[in-house]
Order: sequence, then structure tokens, then C-alpha cells
Amino acid sequence: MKVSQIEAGDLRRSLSKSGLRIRTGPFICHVQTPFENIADGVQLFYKDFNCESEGFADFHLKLVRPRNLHRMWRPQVSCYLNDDSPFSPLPSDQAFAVFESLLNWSIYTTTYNYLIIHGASVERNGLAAILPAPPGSGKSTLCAALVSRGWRLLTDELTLVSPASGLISALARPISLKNNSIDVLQDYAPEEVFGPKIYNTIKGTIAHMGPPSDSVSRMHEAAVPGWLIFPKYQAGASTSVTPLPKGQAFMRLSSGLVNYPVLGAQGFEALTQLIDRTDCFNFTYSNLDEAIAWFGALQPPWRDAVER
Amino acid sequence: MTAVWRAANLLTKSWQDGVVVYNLDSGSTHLLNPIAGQVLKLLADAPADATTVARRLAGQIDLDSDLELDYNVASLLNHLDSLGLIEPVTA
Amino acid sequence: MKLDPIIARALTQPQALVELSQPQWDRLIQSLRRLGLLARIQVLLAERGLLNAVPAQPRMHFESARIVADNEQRIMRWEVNRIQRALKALSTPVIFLKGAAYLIAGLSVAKGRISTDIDILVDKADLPAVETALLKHGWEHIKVDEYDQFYYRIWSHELPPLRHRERRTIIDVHHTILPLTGRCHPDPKKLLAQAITLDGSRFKILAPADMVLHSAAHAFQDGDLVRGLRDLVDLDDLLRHFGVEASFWARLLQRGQELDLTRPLYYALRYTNLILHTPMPMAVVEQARKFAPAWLAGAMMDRLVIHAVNDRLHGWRKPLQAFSNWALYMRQHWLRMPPFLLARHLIHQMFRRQKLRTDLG
Repeated sequence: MKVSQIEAGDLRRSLSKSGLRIRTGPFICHVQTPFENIADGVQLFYKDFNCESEGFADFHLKLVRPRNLHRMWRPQVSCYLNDDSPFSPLPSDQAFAVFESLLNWSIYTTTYNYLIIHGASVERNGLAAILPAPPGSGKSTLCAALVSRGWRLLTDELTLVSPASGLISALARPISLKNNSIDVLQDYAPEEVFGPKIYNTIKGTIAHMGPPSDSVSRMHEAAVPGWLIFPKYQAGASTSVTPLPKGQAFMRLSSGLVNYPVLGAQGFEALTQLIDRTDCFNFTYSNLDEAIAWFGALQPPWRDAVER
Repeated sequence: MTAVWRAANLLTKSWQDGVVVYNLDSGSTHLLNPIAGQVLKLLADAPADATTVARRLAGQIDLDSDLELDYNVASLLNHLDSLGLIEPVTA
Repeated sequence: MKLDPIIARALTQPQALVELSQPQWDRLIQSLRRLGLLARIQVLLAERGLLNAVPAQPRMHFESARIVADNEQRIMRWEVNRIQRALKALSTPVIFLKGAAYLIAGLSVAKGRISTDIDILVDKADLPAVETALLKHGWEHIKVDEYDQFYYRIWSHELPPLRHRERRTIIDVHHTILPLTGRCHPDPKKLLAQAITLDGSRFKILAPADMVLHSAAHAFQDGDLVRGLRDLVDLDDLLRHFGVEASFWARLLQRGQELDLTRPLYYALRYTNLILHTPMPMAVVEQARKFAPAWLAGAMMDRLVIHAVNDRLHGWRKPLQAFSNWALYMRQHWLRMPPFLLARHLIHQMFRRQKLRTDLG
């Protein structure tokens, strides 16, 4: 059953009582919360996602009102993952953003059967572009823009690569936009679904853009990596691309690979294969139309037939 | 008496701009320039002392064997040892 | 003395796990994660060829836990290598304890363990040389508070922990296996005398009976009792492994007396047998009875232990369990330090925690 098939009142009630089990890519996330703004966010952004019935869930998320004095004048949200609380309480109007962060945290801290690259990935015509993302790189802006122009959304934040198959598993969750990007995207892609602005988070103002229905319905189609593109947004800069030598690409990517140290030899092999099969670039941009055009003109990576 | 060196337990992958190396024992990862990568490969093939490595390297990349090369190779080997990528055989 | 039945099944009859329903798997994976036993059960299932019978969703969690545990083992093996390199020039015997020892000796108890701290035992006279050698090779002190340094050196059984500058791994250098302030005083010279070497070097591990007694001493007298079930699992494995040899049991009882560790030995035998059904000769059980505490203390301990092994299995902590944990914590410190020192120590810890909280805002 899809989330959209649950009536709004029932959705809120289910979330606050026994919770909802939502399937995102390889994972089932069980979430329990009384917060209306989370229920609204789930209804808006997860409407096309499947709900599982009672059974197994990979993560158990609880977002609740803490029993402290704060609730008198400034309501807060406390969150729990499998009964441990990883974050301090935050203002309750940020609850949906906290839910998204908590789900990211759950995946980061328990998943070692995938390489987890901190970055976005999108797919078109059977090949995926991975955009690894140090802060300030503008990857979410770029990701959202690409998605609005027809690229399939695989993920905005965590790119999961299977060491066995080398393929990327999609999560298709909402894209998180910050500060100026919000207005930029609402201008650039007014037809997309945007959630309310959430103010005063540690990252500034956040708003989410919904995943296209097509991306959600194709969530279980793994994608073949084609390109590794390190984006850098620079105000006023013209679009410029430099090919990245593979040794350097490897070292840069391994530092953006959250669980690389733990994966050991398997991680090393999977990463070398990923670098081998993709074309790697540094990409600087400021104009979204130019950036989208460049992506649209990308050629499939040249595969070296000779064993190096 | 000069030390005889051998490569540690390693996985490697060579590209045009260098060799990435994973140390299976320590779990550390390194990017070496092609020459350093070549030296490591020589030691992985067969343990050797600094002089032997210098000779073999000179042969492979068509360099003159001289004191400067010997000195550079010896320094490189010390550096590789400090990184844990090679170890003395007579430990 | 009942353990949660599904946890008990996982530990003692893993082949029966394939009958679990999805909601039962859900509860089991959560519990095993909290208990730190996910990787251990993965190993048991893998060895019996049962992993493919586990449904795909829970199986992912076993896989991930195994990858983490394998990495922890790699880290530990490398640490042992680096420590041996750092202490190479010394002539002092060095005994690796606990996890490092299990790993070096290839014991089955090492499987699925997730700890990377290394403990070594050296003769007290050799401490300065060992400390110097480690500091020279990149380790540094971590507890900088003067009171803690003082406490460790004077009252405790170890140097303050050392952490490696680059690798951030911890080594504890002991000169006895229990704190000097405790009730039991196993003579470290006896341990050193019986230690066995694996490859003819100065680096050794404890003899089998001593290894079991050390584990018992830590599970029940020192260390963290909140790790209850994990400690029992270790003891169960060691007893099953060494107990195959008939002469082991007599040796265990004898050494328990020689090393003044009869009370922890009694607890170890009692609780592994009752909770994990560890097989042991009846004669041993009979003889160990004389090491039992007075019946009231024994009954208290029964309650505390069963709460400790079932702790955190039921989500939100219950008030009784909170009390039990507090009682265990008090007991632990009481055993460690004479009462007149205890109050002062606890007050100091309280102030430090308070200060830390204020500093963090």
C-alpha cells in the first residue's frame, strides 16, 4: 500500500501510535511520532512510497516531545534511533528536518554492506552521475536542477554502491535545499513540489523538494555508474570542466566515503573498480542552464579495453 | 650491513598518474607517484636491498645507475618503511 | 535464571533461528545490536551454513556487523604487531591479555568480538622501561587530570591508559590483573610464571586456566558488569573450548585457589551453567560450591546478574533496572576501593562530570 492511499487523519494516528514502516531503497524505516509537521512532510514527500505491514524494520525511529521544562515555552523534538538518542533536542518546528537527518544517520551508522559516498547521484539513459559533496559544493542545488530537467533521482545525500555488483542502489528521498538555493530552485523549477521553509537550523534555512513519482517508482532499479563529477558552485564563474586523473580521483573519493576505513580490502577493490569504470571530472559552475546542458551532453565513459 | 627489504601485504592498482596502495595489515591507503609505485612492485616481486633495487629500477626506466640514484632510492625506501609499506626482512 | 528465549536460542541453538517470524527477527536484531552480539551470531550462523536461510532483510544486518567485527580484528592484529615492534628491544616478558590474546591464539572466543583496546601484563619492575618504549614509539597519556594520574599509579593495577598519537588506539599496561585496592590479590608473578609463549618469543598469553580466571575476575569483580551477557558468552566459549581436556577442570579449581580468585570462579561457573547451559563435570560444580558467598549475597547477585544480562532488552529502561545498574556500579567501586577512599573518589568524579557538563554548555 502506498502512503498516498492512507487518509490524512489515519496517517497521523498511525504515525503516533504503532508507527509507519516506509520502504526506501534497500531499507525499511519504522517511524513513530506525534508531530503533525512530520506527518505533513511524510504525506507530501513520501506519498508514492510503499508502506510495509507489521514485520521487520531496519531502523526504529522515534521523534517525541521531550519531558523537560522547555515544553512550557519552546516546544522541542527529541529523537531516538533504536532507543539511543544521537542528537540533542531541537525546536519542534524543525521536526521534519530532524526526521530526515535521523534517517540519514541510521543508514550511515549501521550500513557496511554498501560503500556509502557522501554525495548525490542521478541517472539518465542507463548511466549514473555521482556528485561527491564536501560542504559548499552546491551538490543539492545541482542535483535538484538535474532532477527537474528529467534526470532520475537516485539520492541526494547518500550514494550506496554495492561492492559485489558495482551498481548504485536508489533511495529516492526528498532533496534538502539550503538558504539561497531554495529560492533559486523555486524560480528554476516552479512546477516541482516544495515543502515549507524551516528556519534557524544549524545549516540555516532548509526546505525540501519532493522526489518525482517516476524516480520513486523506479526505486528498485539499480544504476550503472558512468561519471564521477566533483561539483563546485562559484558565484559568477563560467562553467568549467577539468578531467581528474584517476589516482587523484581515488584519493579524493575515499575521503568522502563515510565507511571506507571499515570496509577494508573489499572497499579498496570496490572503489578501484568504480574509478576504473567512470570518467572523473572537476566541475565548476554558476549558471544552472549551462550546467544542465553540459550534463546533457556527457558521453558514456571510454572503457579501456587493455588491462592496465 | 644494509637491510634487505620486502613489501608488506598489499593490494595495488596502477593508473597513469600513480599507484594506489592498500595495506592489508594496517588498513592504510596511499597514492604513490609512478616511480615509487615501481619500486614497491620490485620489492613485491622479490625482496632486495637498496643497491639492488636501484640497479633494477635503472634498468626498467632507462636511467643511469649512479650515486645520486642510489641515494634517492635509499631515501625512498626509508620513507616507504615509515609508511609501513615495506619492512626489513631481518626484523 | 531466565534469559530472553529468543536470545538464548540465538546463542545456544542458532539452527532454530530459521523458524523465526518477521516480527521476531525484528526484535532479535535490535536486541543483538544492543548487546553487541550481532557479529558473534553471524559467525555462528555462517559456520553452520545457515546464513542463506535467514531472510534477506535481517541478513543485511548480520553482514554489516560481520564487516565491522572483521575490521576491528584487523585493527587489533596490527596493534599487536606495532606493540611487539615497539617493545622489541626490551628483554622483559610481556603477556597479552583478553581480546588480543584470544586473537593471537586463534581461539574461537575471538570470533565476532568488537573491541580494539589492547591490555598487556608486565612485571611491576619493568613498567618504567615499557612506558618509555611506548612513549618513544608514538603513544601518549590521555588522562591528564592530576588526580586521575595519581589514582591510576597508586591505587590501580595499570598505568593510565596510553593512546597512540596517529592511530588513536588505546593500550592498557597492567602490572596486576586486579586493582590493588580490591579484595582479591592474585599474584602476578604466578601468572607470569605459567604464561605460555606461542612462537618462542617474549610475547606470551596466559595459561588456559588463568585465562578463564582472568575473564571471570573482570566479569564479576572489575570491569563493567553492564556488559554482562557478552562477558558470559566469552566465559562460556572459553570453558567449552578448554573443558574438552579432562585435566583442565582440576587445574581450574586449583589455580582459582592459588590465585585467590575463587569467588569470581564460583560466579563464572554458576552463571554460565544456569544461563548458557555450559557443560561442566558435576564434580566441579560440587567442589565449587564451597566458594559460594553467604546465601543473602548470593541471592542479591542472582538478581543483579539476571538484570544485567537482560538489561536494555526491553527498550525504555525500567526503574528497577536503573536501580540494579546503580547497585552494580556501587558494588564495583566498593570492591575496587576501601570505603574511606570510595566517598572521596565518587565526589571527585561527580564534580568532574558536573564541570564537563558546564564546559559543554
